[in-house]
Amino acid sequence: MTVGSTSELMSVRHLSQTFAAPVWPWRKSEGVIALDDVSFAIARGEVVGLVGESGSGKTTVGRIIVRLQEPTSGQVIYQGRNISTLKRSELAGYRRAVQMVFQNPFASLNPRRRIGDLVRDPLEIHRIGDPTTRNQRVREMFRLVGLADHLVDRYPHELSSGQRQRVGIARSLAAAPSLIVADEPVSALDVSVQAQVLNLFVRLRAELDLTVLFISHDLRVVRFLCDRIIVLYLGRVMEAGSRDDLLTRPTHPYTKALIASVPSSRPGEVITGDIAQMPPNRAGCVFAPRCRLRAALNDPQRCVTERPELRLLPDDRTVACHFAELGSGSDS
Amino acid sequence: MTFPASSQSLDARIGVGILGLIVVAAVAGPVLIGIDPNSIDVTARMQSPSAEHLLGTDSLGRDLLARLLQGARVSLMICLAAVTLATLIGSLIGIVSGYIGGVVDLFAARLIDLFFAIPTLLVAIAVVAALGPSILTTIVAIATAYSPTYARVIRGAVVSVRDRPFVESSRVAGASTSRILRLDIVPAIRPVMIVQSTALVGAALIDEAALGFLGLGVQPPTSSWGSLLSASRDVLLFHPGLALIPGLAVVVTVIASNLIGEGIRAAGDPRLAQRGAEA
Amino acid sequence: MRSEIEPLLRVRDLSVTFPAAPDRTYAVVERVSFDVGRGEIVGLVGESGSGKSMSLLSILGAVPRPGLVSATSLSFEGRDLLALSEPARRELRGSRIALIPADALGALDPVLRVGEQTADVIVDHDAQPRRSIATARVLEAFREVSLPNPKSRFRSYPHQLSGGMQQRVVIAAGLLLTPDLLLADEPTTALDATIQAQVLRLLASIRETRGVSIILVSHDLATVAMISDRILVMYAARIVESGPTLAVMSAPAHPYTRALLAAAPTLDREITTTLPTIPGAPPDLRVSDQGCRFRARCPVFEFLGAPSECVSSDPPLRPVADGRLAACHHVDEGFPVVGAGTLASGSLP
Repeated sequence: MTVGSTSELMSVRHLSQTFAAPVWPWRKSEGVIALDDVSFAIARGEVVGLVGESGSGKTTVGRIIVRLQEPTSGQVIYQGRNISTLKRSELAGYRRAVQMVFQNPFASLNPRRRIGDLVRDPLEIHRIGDPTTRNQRVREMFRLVGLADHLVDRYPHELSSGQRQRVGIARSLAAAPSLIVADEPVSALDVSVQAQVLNLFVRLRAELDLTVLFISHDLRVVRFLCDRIIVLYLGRVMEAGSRDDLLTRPTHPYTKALIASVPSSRPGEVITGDIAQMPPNRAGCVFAPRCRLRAALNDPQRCVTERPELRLLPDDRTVACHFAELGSGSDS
Repeated sequence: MTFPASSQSLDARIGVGILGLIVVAAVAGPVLIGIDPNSIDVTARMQSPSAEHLLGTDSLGRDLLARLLQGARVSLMICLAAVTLATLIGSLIGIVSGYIGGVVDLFAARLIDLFFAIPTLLVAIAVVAALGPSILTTIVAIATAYSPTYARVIRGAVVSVRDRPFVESSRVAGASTSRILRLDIVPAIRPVMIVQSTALVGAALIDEAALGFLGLGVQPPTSSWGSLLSASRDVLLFHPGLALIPGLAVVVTVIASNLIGEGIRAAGDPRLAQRGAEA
Repeated sequence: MRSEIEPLLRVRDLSVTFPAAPDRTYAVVERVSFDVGRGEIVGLVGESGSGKSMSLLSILGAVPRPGLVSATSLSFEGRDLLALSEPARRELRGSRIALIPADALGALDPVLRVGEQTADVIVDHDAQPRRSIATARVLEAFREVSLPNPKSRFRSYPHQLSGGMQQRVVIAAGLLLTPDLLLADEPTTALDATIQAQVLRLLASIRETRGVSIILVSHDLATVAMISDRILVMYAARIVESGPTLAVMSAPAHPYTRALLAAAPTLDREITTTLPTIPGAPPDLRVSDQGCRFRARCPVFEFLGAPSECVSSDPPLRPVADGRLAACHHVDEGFPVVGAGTLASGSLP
């Protein structure tokens, strides 16, 4: 794995996001914490899976990276520069370099525009080439993602869901970005179509040397596609490591629970409880109320009084659990 | 699909046909019939239709057809100008307020609410009272009265599309605000604008009539459909034709504009347009 | 004595047709036959448009207009569902057959407290006109589905509950009238992974304690396999394969089932660089076709060089090994299974 600081393409540092209820600007309100001090880095050419359930903040991270949203605090560092300090002209460059593939391929394509125009958009926006070369590039993109040429004049509603997601991917790739943030790009697709789109990601990665942040709730998909996996829970990173370490030798109790809930062979033990409805106890570990390891250790106080920071384990993975070593091996 | 989208485009064609006839009549009619709409003939008051006066005469013996055609010119012009003005002002406020949001929106929305509390006719009367009655004042008055309503509807439509994934997709692609407004927002709210504007045609025609009735609209001897309607009020029971004929003109015009509005709306939406093609 | 062999639900040659043109119809469910035994969990799997949800709706008598349901037999406990009057069917629908929808929040009335609207189920069916007793029964049902703090949840509004809790409330409501058959339409699709596993386990435990039968509809074979005894696979309005879960999952007979299993990434199969895909898209059901509906995407069809029987006749479901049925002319000539062998069935208690 090439995760040296020299090859780092992008990182997020101490991202926090609090959502306030929309009120009068002079009134402050208590907000909901969506992200709570999240940090990670993505190396050039790497495909990183960001995994979590609802409320984990995984989508929020993606939206902050593509600047659809400003974090409450923390930075996004791209090629060594803090993107919130970019000048206007530099920001345009960032917009060109970092693109997003959306979850719902129908909702994210303007229904009133032809798909050829949608794919051409980034070229026009960033003034790449002239009309002729743009048309060539659109055709090239269509070929790349496996769309027939004659579809350029179609509207999104005339395509199948798989074709629509291909359009979404072609659009995000048209301006030759270096980082793609893919937010649940296959979760709205049928299994057979999902496989086609996943294969497309594999091929594009090989052909274009893409770096991808792949946001998903589905460990099976992430396992297929990603080199490294980051597990989020209620706005915090629980565990991060290489695919094989994380999936075959999970150390965090939540990662284990997540793996056990995947519908498949090994009948895992299903964790009880629900993602807290009340604001979680942020002074300690947010997973503590549902944690089996904590229960097995007779509810140590430390879990509710001291926040477990992400720490590096010998095998080059990071985990946010005071007692990760005690649980490994025995309990899956 | 058996959805009658093709009949919608037929509707639009009928609407265009009717409105075309009305416009042609308004432009060329007075010349063709060659009767001065303002010539008074007290010996021929309240006549029934005849070869000389196709629609009869009014209480001063003026030819009703001539006055109707002159009125068509005036009413349509006022209406068109007022609707255009209201559309421009209303869309501008609505789009800016809805898309930019924040403090701008907060104040624009409150201002719109304030206007909303006052009946449109009262706003129009206040404008006329301030500027003095004339055709231009009538236009400004009606436009002022309806702009807030228009802005409110447009603002709502913009807010509902502003954060849709396809708009966010453009934002991520790096599109400028003007490009997003031009390619994503305005096309998405265009159906709303068309329906609003065509609905406004009817409202404007009626308000024009009301202002005329109050003596605040078009000033005599110039006729408009509104002033014809109000002039007929005193003799309504004995000569209903004097009210029915301009009234019918207003109704037919409103229906025609609504038909056109529906048709354009359907044509502007590729999903509806295609259904039309399939059917 | 006939009732001894009579299954709870018996479906024979069920078809649902819609008008395509003034003189033509097309089938979204075509000649579907299966049984559901007492206490059995049957998984109904297919991709969107395969007809799985429409099959469910026809059991409920809730196929939307202008759809037309026909069957040589559609009987519940020996009673012909197609012959029932609308009131009788409504009675049956609430009390004996309950639907658990995918969208739990949509199924709940947003302005009523969940306890009250659940109690309404009892009151509406006149099974228990007294409110206090209805309340007690609702609390009992809430406990049965392991809704945390049932008393305080009774007074919650739907939006105050998490997705998992909403789904539990809906399941509790479905259980109130002690139905014999639960129709669960993608009951876990909208839920988070950990909650999804909980709800599946809940359904399995309800079957254990109550002996209720369940038809579990899902687009995900692996999900269905967790708790089903038998699996039915639908493709293009037909059942293409059916059989015991273990047999279907470990040695699928129909090329479509095989492709579907191979196309879904798993946690335990060896990671390959590409997933085996199913080329193309499902056929347009409005276009009439004599042959096998899957052939345009079928690797066996291609491998065998487009045999004529696949083009000329729609293969009927016929018995193959291990108690399975498959609708394929060339079941025995198929390709080897792509690594699905390690899947266990009924693995949840």
